[in-house]
Amino acid sequence: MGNYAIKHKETIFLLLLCGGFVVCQGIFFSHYRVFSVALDFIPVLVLYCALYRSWKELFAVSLIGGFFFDSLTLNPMGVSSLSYLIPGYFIYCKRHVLLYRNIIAQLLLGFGMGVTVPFLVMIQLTGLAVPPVIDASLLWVFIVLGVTSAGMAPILFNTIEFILKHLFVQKMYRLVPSFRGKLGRK
Amino acid sequence: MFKKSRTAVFGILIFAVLLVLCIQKWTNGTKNIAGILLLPFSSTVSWLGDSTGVIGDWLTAKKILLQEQEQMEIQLKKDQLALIRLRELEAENIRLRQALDFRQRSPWKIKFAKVIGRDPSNWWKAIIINVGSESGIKQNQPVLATFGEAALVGRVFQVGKWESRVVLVGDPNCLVSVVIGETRNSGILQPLVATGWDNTIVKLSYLSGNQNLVPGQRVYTSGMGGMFPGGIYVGNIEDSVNLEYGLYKEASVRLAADPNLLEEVWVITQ
Repeated sequence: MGNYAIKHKETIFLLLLCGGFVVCQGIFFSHYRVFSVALDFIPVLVLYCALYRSWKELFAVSLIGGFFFDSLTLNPMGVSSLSYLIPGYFIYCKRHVLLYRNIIAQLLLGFGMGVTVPFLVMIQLTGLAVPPVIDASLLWVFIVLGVTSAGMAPILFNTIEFILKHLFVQKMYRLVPSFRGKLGRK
Repeated sequence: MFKKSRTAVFGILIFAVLLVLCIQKWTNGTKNIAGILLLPFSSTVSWLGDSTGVIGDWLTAKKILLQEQEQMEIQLKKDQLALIRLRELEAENIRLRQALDFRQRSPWKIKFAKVIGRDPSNWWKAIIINVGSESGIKQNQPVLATFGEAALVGRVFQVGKWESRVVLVGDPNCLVSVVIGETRNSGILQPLVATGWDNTIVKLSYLSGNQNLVPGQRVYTSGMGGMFPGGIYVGNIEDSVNLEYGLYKEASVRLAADPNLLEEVWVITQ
């Protein structure tokens, strides 16, 4: 029962983090651009869920994060959700063969996710009645998004793990002695 | 068994998202719901932004108590900060006076709006304003800003109940028919590049080749198409090139309303 309560709290925390990221992107990063590019941290959060969390949390964060993001942009609703879901689920299915606790792997996965998501969004947007302008400058956008996501991946993974561990798991550890065994095995 | 149900949920989700994507009516509905869900987050962020100043002041006061010998120095710093704040207030005062003056002089019925957000994607150029259908805002209404004089910003693209999305000049969704003031040569303003290298420059296409274009010439809306009233100042010619052996010209135009500096805008409601 307690374990479920923790799981729910962690999921809510991840969703709140997702909403916070979207609002920060809408307010700060859309205005203060890094190398003329508005940064996107949701792909890294989706990557975290794909590597460390359950598939339910992955789906929840991808869907809600995508809907939140699309509600602030001119993208049709669902474009970002699809772009988060597809690579996220692919990574989730293959995570048992990935050395995702290795920092180099995290950097590479972060770069891959940072490039794949905007690429998938662009592919979907080309089907619109008025598609965005597609030119060579988008390559720069993909590179900057890839590099920043690569840089953010290990930082975000460790920060979230640290917060979750100290906010929720430690409390449980103190409250329920039998939980120690589970933690030890983990 | 577990893997099968997981894949089934994935399939259902993809199907549901595709359904939302395909049905335009649902897209707008879900966009409004997601926007409402995001309101607590944006209010918290705004509140945090406002309270940072208060926290800063409190820390300074604490410092004064602890380091009395440096009191004068700190006082000077505080005065300098106050001066910066006063300058900011003065600039805001001037801006609002200009806006008020514009409201009195404007031949249209206009509605004041504050910019509350910007499009966080890299391929659209849009802003979010704090007025919606509740305030009588409708789709395709022109949006202006006052930088000394009124200049075109864009048009209302999507209207929510309490907020609206405005596509800016330079976005593929906001093509504007314009004329050059001196030569009366007409053309269409289009986006120059996909990214935000320089948001203030747009491309002016379909100009006839026999006109002499000089940097600095003023560009106004032509009124053709019916979406934007004629005679609204848009920007100035930066440079021009001949295309197709001089058959027609293309020019770059620097927008008068810098999208990066937009804080308050006016929506022409009638």
